[in-house]
Amino acid sequence: MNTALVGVALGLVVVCATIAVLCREPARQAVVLAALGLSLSVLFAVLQSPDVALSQLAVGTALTPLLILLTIRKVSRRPAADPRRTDEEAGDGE
Amino acid sequence: MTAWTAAALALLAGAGPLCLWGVASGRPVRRLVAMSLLSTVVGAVFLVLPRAYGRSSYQDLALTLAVVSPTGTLVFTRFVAGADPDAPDNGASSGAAEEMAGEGP
Repeated sequence: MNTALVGVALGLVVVCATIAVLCREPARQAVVLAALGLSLSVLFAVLQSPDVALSQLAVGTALTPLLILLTIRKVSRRPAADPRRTDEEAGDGE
Repeated sequence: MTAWTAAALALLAGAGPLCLWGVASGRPVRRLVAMSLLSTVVGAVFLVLPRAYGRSSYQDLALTLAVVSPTGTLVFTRFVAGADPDAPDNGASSGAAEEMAGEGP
């Protein structure tokens, strides 16, 4: 009965990791990565190691997407944050 | 197979792939909602698993998930809705959402 649980959790992890690899845009990839962290913590809990699942839950669900989203904001603020503002700046420049 | 194991298996095999499909496709707001639903389902699984294994200390996982999951949802909401806090409200939020979805003008 535990084998079925391990198999289902492993299948969820495989599907989620494949989606995370195939997703090209970083903002969507962060959401998929959060789901991957949840699936991995379920897999660790099913494999009878709740402390590893606890660490994976804290890091993979909250910390990694937060860092990725902060990086995206910091990198892509100027060119892609607000196209209207760049138009105004271009108009002022002209 | 006990009833608790069957309940955990049904939750994982039934609601898990549906939430994954919601996370993998659609606009960012839909992905966010599917992500919240997935964390709720996983919280239910973490509450059922200690019953199935007979170890009540596994409930710490559900407690930690209940603390961490709204924080992650708030982070994503801040990114999706408040991409530009200086701009006016409706135009900024819809423009940012469309821009993230790749369907913007």
